[in-house]
Amino acid sequence: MLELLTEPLLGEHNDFMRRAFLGVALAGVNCAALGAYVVLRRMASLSGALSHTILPGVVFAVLSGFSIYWGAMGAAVVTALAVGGIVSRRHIREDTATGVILSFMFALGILLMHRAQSFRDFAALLFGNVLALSSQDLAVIAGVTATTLTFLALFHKELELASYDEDYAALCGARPALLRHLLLVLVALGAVASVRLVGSLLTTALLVTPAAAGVMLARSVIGVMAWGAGIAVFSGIAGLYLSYHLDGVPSGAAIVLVCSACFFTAWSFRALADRRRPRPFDED
Amino acid sequence: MSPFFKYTARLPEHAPDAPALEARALAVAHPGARRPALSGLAFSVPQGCRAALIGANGSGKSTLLKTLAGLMPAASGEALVLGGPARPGRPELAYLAQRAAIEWHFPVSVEKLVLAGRFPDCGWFRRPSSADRDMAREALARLRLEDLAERPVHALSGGQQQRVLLARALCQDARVLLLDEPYTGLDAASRDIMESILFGDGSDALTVLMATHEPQEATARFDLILAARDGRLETLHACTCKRPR
Repeated sequence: MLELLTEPLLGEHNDFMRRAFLGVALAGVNCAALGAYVVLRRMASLSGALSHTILPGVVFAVLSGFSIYWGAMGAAVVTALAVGGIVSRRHIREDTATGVILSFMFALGILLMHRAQSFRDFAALLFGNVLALSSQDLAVIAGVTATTLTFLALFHKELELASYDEDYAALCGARPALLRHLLLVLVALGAVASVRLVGSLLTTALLVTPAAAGVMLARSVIGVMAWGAGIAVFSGIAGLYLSYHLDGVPSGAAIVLVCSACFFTAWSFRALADRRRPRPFDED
Repeated sequence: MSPFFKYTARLPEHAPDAPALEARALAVAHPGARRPALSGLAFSVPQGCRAALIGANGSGKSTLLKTLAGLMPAASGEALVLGGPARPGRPELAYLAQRAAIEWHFPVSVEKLVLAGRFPDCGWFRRPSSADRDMAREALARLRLEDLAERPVHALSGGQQQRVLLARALCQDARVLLLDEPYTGLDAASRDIMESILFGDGSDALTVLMATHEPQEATARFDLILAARDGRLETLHACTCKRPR
């Protein structure tokens, strides 16, 4: 029984598994910490769009012969800034701006892909392959995670305030619009960093689901981040074990399925707790 | 404190006798609108004065308050606060938006929300100190919210939420308060508590400009009435109050 747990981790030829474990743990912490703001600020659809719109960047990178990471990052940052820019300058809601930019970028990707006349190179990015994680991939994930956590720690009080009261943050002079842009760029980087793990189509799951479960269980932003990180890391590792031991279970899907199961558990727990003890509400 | 951490550069010292709020040929426009909602504004609210801003919905009251708070640029002319330009990052001015502007379901406790009133003094990278925490608790006590300090803000009634926002403004140690329809949907108890802060003993140092659409009530308690009508602002009766010590 114990061997089931130790074998993937300690096996002689299992370097790829050790890299995968480290990768999902780092990306899990990164996505859950950012995800707290993604969920609490209702940016879930935007983060979904970000993970999809990296397509043209990746295709462009392959066509021009530079690293797909730079291509993906470029496209994601362009999306984040375009959506942020449209929302801040005109009276258009974020979901509308997201819809416009998402379809624009996806069409651009299809156009480029058509010119490349090959879908082969892009499969790993659409569906992910955590078991093929290279040291370079791992370095990218670690770098992005360190950047994100530093930013969230340095600007914690301003980010938190701007998330529930943007007007007051502006009144203080705490630049909420700038913070929102930076947050979007970090979400874009987070999406790019986790593309290798679960693929661009499922990256949203890592950004949204663990934090959404955290919201059910915690009473503060830090609490949401902590619960989210715990759930994301657990799901990543459990998903890897499942796909290692079971035939025909792709790792990306296994990770996201465990993550979703955690969310439904947290949701049920909250529903039961609320039924037993309704949330306090005093009229005086 | 090092000015490096300040959210915005410090203003030069203003004249001590400057009016709390002043408009010079000011025009304010709704966001995205071509024509100003209010134009040709010229008024002055002395320090320590209680002023009401009355007018129908859509007459530009909220826009004027936001412009004075520095949250929106003036369409033309000048808006001054304590002799300096109206702009964000001035701890001496607090602005209470209408309730809808806040995400009440955010997981934050009452005390933490009120503590945000210290942020303009903290600036970037600084955590509020224990002295800041004491100021937050004191503000909570003045609004009789001390028992609710640990509650999440979503678990409060509308009246309690409005009191929390006033507590934050007090915690900020603001001398000029801009309030946008603060009594909307308020229960009598909360309203009494808020009025005692705004009009009661020990409130002499405060300058208040309150948007309201209750004209009868407005005339009784305020020193100065500004009425928005047909794109203009009339001063209905002038303030006679003296600047506090």
